[in-house]
Amino acid sequence: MVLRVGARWDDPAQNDRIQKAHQQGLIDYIEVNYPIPYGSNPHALGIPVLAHTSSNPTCSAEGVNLNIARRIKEAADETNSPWIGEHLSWLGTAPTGSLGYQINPLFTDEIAAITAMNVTRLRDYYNRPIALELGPIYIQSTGYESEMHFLGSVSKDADTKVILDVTHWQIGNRNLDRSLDYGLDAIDPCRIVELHIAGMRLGSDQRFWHDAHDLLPDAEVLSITSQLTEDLPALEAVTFEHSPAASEEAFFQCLRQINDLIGNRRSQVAA
Amino acid sequence: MRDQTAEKALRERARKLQALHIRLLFCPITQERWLTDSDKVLHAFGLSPEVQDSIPDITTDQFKAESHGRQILVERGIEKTFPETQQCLQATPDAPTFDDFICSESFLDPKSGLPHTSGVGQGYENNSKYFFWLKQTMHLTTPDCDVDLRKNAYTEFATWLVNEYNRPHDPYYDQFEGGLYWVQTPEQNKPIILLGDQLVVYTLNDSKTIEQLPIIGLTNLDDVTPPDWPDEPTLL
Repeated sequence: MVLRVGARWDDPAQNDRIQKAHQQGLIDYIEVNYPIPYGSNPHALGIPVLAHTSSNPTCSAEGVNLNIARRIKEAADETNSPWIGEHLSWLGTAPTGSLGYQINPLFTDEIAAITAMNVTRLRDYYNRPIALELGPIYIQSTGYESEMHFLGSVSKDADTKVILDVTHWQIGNRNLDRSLDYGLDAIDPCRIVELHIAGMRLGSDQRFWHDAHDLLPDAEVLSITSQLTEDLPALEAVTFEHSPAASEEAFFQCLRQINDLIGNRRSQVAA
Repeated sequence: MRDQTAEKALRERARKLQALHIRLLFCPITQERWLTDSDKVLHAFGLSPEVQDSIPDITTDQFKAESHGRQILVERGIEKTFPETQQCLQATPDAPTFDDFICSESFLDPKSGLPHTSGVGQGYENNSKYFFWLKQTMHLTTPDCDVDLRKNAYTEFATWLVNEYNRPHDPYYDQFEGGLYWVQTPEQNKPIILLGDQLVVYTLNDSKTIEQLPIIGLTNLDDVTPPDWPDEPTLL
């Protein structure tokens, strides 16, 4: 399988650096995080798009509302995204709205059953494959051995692809005192089509790790990523997530690192 | 294919579990009650005692870290938008606290806020939910309200609305073009406080000038309420 490298697009402020990265042959696609700011148009950059969202509560007993899902479907149809990235999350207690950053669901059998139903309906609505992703984890699962086992089970039941967010995975392993390779064997490797990598930071308590898109991935995350690109048989994409507010220099530095570590496994689409 | 009745029952129970877990993550009052008498809390959420095993141990450092992170994210957002209001509340005896807000139905209910600038509907930010909650809780539309608190809360919320207007926005925010105004003391005709689109505050006493405000298209902040926003269907 030939790999592609991409960058997360969250905001029009990233347009210049993303366009430059594409022109320099450092990225093949942008992963657009929908919904996007009103009036913005990342599709106009002329770069292939992977559709993604953190704003659908795929695990919610309330189901998934089309306020946001309809916009994602329209964008994915317009850009012919090969799959749509979705998070395993709750966003609140109502069918719409969000209380803030995605909320990890209870990892139990009944929530897994509901998630599989929600995701199957969403996939049918999109008429396009879905790739499921976990958020960063702090709390021990109560109904499964771990959140990774929950993801493995739901992706099988709903027949989805998987996005392995290497940073989220390592945050969970650190926060729950697990080995760095814990949980990978719970997921069918043939379902993992995409990796996410980003920075993480140790909290002021010096105990718990958090997602930090303003920072670069650390050496451990890059090393694991390198190994995964060799080991995962169905892997197609590696997406670098970087805050629009972080420095452009750091953005290019990391993209070069990713390209170096992937080497000739990447498709060559340089301009 | 799962039977519809079975799915409905499954969702109903999961809905209650979801509601409880989210309350436990965000609401310190629910956490205290849970630690005192979890069976009573389960009963209040319509759940039977056997589901207790599905709920994580909230005394662990891991749970506390996630809960703290969620609360602090909301609190920082509110403090950033309403700094003077927060100071005013701290100096007010028996004023509602941040915990009161984050434990309220207003925090959880997307319909208690304004539509998001991106166009996806209500409940995707907390500033408007907080403003409407505070306005109601502190009776800020009654003549005997705390006028200083009203001034601070209205000025800071109007500033936020104008800033939202100045970004690319859903057409709902077009009504905030030029700024917003409100009467300094409820049920009096003047003075009127006007926050212009350059974020300058004016105090208006001239009746003819005041009469012009709605005519030139400015919005009275007391007329801004969560709209009846048409949600799309939910996949169930």
